[in-house]
Amino acid sequence: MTCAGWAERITALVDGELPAGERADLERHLAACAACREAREAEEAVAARLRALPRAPLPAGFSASVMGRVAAAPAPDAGTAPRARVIPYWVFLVGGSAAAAAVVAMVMVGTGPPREMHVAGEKPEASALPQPAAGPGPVMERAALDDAKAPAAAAAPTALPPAKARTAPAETPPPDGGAGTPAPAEKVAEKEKGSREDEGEVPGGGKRGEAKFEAAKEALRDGADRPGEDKVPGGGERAPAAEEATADAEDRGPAPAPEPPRLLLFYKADTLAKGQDAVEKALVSRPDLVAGRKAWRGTTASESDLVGRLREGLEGRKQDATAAVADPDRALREALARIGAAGSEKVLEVRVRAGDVEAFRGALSRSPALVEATALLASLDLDDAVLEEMRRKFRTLSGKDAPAGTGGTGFAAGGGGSGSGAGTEPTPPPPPTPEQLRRLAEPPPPGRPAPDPGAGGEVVLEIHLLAPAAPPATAPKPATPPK
Amino acid sequence: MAADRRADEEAIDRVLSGDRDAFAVLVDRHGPRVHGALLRMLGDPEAADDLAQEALVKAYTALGTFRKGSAFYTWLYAIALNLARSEFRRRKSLKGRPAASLDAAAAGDPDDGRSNGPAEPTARGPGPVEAASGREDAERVHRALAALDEEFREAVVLRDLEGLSYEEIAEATGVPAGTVRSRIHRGRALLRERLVPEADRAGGAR
Repeated sequence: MTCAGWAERITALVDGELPAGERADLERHLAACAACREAREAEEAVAARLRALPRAPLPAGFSASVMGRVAAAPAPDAGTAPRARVIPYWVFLVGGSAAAAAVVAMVMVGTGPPREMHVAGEKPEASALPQPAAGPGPVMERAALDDAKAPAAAAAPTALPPAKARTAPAETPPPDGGAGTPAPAEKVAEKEKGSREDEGEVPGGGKRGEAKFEAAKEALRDGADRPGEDKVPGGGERAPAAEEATADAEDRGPAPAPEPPRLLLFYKADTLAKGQDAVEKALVSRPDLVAGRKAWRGTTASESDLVGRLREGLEGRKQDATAAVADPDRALREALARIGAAGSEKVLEVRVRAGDVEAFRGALSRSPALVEATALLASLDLDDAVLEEMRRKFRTLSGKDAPAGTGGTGFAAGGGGSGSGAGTEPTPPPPPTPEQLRRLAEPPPPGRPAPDPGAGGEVVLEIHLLAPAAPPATAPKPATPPK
Repeated sequence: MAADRRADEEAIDRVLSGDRDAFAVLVDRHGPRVHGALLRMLGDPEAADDLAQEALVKAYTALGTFRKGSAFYTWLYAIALNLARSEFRRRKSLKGRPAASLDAAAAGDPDDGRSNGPAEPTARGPGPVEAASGREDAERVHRALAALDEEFREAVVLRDLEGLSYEEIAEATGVPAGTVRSRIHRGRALLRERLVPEADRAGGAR
């Protein structure tokens, strides 16, 4: 072997990582080769210089800060491999306009959703979806709820077109009798009312689109729980994800924390870099909307898995149009089952005031480099029958979710999420009453201290970028056993 | 090491059974190393602080997914590196050039080997007498590190600064051990090229 061939082995030798047999060979070579001996010394010298670098002291308050955030975070669930903050479902806004033409479709993916795909499509006039009832500014409603399961939630729905009907039931206080500051809730309510006239102008109330979307999200989240244990190809740990999501959403853990509600937005881009650029530009273009942001991050394995599945499921879904009519649930499940290797994606968390979510989404959508998930969903060619079927399923499943003062995992428990085993929801009850629907958006069980919704009803937007070229290798799978 | 592993696993078990405070054990044991690695990777003390905290919180919330077959800290490093990579890419895409902000770290180099964390095998700071020249040298090394491409820097930092084995580095970075070796080799070679002239000035490499 030439000296170049030995070079890497020398590195391994220096590090004590050379297998015995190769070590013997190398030692023999070194005995005869001055150049390689020199290389070895040089390598040892560099390594030593690096080792000699002083350790940076931990910043003051580091541990305290971490533990503070830990206190605010959802507790990991030993039994069901909880996920990190990622909500294991995502919401696609189809149409997105708060005006009448808005169609809200929510596809739930994630914790073993395969068993139950909930897709809620809602035609504005149909308003069949419960979500609106759950509260137009579900985002805000949640904030309010987190803070005070107040009548605010009740008032919230008023913004939606069909809201009128729901206004009545909406007035009833949250079942779980959450205490809390009515103030934010009322503000929400007022905003909501405003937005109804408003055709969804951003100010104050959640726009209808957002509201529906949020409500649907809430409901789905709840529904997500149900599949709970469902195993999704590629990772059993996804099951708990749904649990986590609801748990995450609803159960802030023993320590109530000012955790704002979290929305997932999905965008496709040609490459991650382009997508990131586009998002950054959008952020720059609307600094008024952004209350805070974090650094971009790659995802952990399970997040990547989720998104990878999502991406492939969507693309595969196109071919399922026919099958979908007959059995949309199965079709979607199969699409999801066409899971390939986990892709990676980039996620950016941005804090936005609840009322600004729509505007922010608009800013992102205006970017030519970003394709919002809605477009993807629209390309699935779901016809009305399919959508209706999905809506029905969604309603049915949503109805399961009557929070019955369950503790622990919040929705999971209350809504009969079977994922974490906290609750069991074997049979779909009849379509939910508006009251029940409203409850869907509510945080957990009575007695749970009302968490502060966070500064001024803020929402955390998780902007997920999907791009075809992302190499999975960049996303190590921390949860896998060592090689 | 086995005792360390056990300590980690016990803490993990306690956390998973509901004892949040037990996580502080893991934070104390591994926070410094994650923070240190991120600092070397990013060169930016603020970002390193933020991402180190984020990595730990992520590890907490995802603790249920951690499989005890591997060491907790390799998993933690993996999470942290992912965050660093994203941050690195964000900077690169925004600025159009590799993050050169290790200069910041070099300038603000932490003082003489004081370590707040658990004793690290690689932690050996210069004594008071050598402080001055040690600092200069450290800054040179910092800059040289900053100039490395990300994957080489990762490998070198994890090996020479964090003391991980090839296998552990492979886990943390998501590449095979052979690639790890190759990257360490290349990374050190590149560092050597940058540092040798200075080393000669300073009287030779240590």
